[in-house]
Amino acid sequence: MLSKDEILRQFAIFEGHVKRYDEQFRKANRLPKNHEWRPYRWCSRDIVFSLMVVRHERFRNCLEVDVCLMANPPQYFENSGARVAMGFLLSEAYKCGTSMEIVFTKNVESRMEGDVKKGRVPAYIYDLSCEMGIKLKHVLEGHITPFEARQMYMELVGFSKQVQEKVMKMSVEGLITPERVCFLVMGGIWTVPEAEAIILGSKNPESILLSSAVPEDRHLYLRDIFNARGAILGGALDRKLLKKELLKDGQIVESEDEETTLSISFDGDVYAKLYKPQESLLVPWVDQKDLLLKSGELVVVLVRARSSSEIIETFARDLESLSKTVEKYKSIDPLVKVFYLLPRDFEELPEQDREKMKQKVGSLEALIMMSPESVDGLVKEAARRIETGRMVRHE
Amino acid sequence: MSQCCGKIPDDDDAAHIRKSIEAHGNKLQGDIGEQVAAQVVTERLHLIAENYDPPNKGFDSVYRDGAGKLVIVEAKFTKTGGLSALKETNHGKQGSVEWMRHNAELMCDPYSDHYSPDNAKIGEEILRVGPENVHIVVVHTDPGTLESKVINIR
Repeated sequence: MLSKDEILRQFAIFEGHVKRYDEQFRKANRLPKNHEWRPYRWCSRDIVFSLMVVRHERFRNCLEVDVCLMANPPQYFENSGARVAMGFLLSEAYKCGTSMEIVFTKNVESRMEGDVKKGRVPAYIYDLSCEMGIKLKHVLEGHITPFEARQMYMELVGFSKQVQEKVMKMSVEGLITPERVCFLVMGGIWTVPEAEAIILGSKNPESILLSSAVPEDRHLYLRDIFNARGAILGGALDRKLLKKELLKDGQIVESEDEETTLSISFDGDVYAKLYKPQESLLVPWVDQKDLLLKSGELVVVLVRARSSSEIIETFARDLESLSKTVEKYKSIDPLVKVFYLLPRDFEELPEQDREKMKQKVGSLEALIMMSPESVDGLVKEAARRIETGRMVRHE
Repeated sequence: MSQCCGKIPDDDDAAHIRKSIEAHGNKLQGDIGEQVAAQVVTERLHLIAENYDPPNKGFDSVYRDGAGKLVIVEAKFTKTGGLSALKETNHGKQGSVEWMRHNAELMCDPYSDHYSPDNAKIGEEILRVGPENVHIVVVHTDPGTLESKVINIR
């Protein structure tokens, strides 16, 4: 554990970088290049998780770290400071175009070996790697190899084992690098469940994740949009379920800090999302407003991002999938609740048709869930995300 | 937790952070629970404190009983009483054998934040006798009444 003096020694270096940055960039109204030292602080409210100074070392093509101070606040989960720090370092290493190697200078948790001052991989980062089951081989040399970095990035993002295997398989086939997939999630373009839906639920996930189809390739582009809009509709339901509404002065307010404890997974065979809440919550977007999910109950939602005409065209096929889904999951858990999620376009259908569909879905012991999102909105959002992904490093 | 935000700091930010480090060092908050627990276990249970450098996450404190056996003491300063105050970690619940083993291993690992020469000796002893054979007690203190209860886990 670092002593107070050691923290203050490293912090003095950090202050030096802040002063230099102020002179060279802020006062000169200039932005730094990737290869110039940049100090960062990572905070949540008034709690500092990490202080770092980084640059792209062009000759070695690695990310060089001159200061890496982390906190492990007791009120947060284990190794939270190291998680924040590594999330940033790995994303920065990818963004700068490095080989993903991370090198810590002699200023990081330094020690003397003879007359030579040497740095190391910070102890908190080492502990995080142990927690993830990844063995770092060059701790005292102060560097994390590209192979170790890639493993840590995948673990840090939190993909399921099934998705990690699929991503590695795609990587071996030369379709996409795991770092890019991780960066798209860490960069906020896709959430983990959305990326999992794309990876497990579409035939060419690399095309969406690489943004390789351009609008001029009409069919390929529309195929990507079609798959992406399903992931986005599922993501909208994730957010709705995760959001906690609290009563404050008689009014419902959304809590920024607290989320519902909910496990989310994906069944690529039937394109369905699987939820298991750890606390009771109301089912959104159904006719029955007081339908409650109990803690530990399994919920399966068949996601179908279809326009009104597509709903009519594919309803029989969807009903068949729904029947298979009900059968499959009832055999696992007889109390499972199954839903058929459609966008708002369902409302455009004549009332009689809607009622008939509801009855048919009801006869399979499932319910229709109607999201407030429209297909037009989903398509627009899918196009925006694919376009944003186009600007991200491609390798 | 709220979103963690990254920012390039200015001199004011750095000055505020320096003040905080100077005041608290590597502990973000003084733990009253640990101070009360130390008093309880030495006065009531007559345990003797072992040389131990507590990391931010890990055992709160380590003692020896009259027979010279190790006793791990977890201090809880919460409204919720007893064993419910023990948290789930990525390596089992606090106090569990798996959690003990993981912490003991880190204490012996010179690369880890949990390591110090004193901690390594304790870690080695835990692994040698087996974490399931090491005593662990929880000292729970109610922040309202400051009353303490000792709960034996093993």
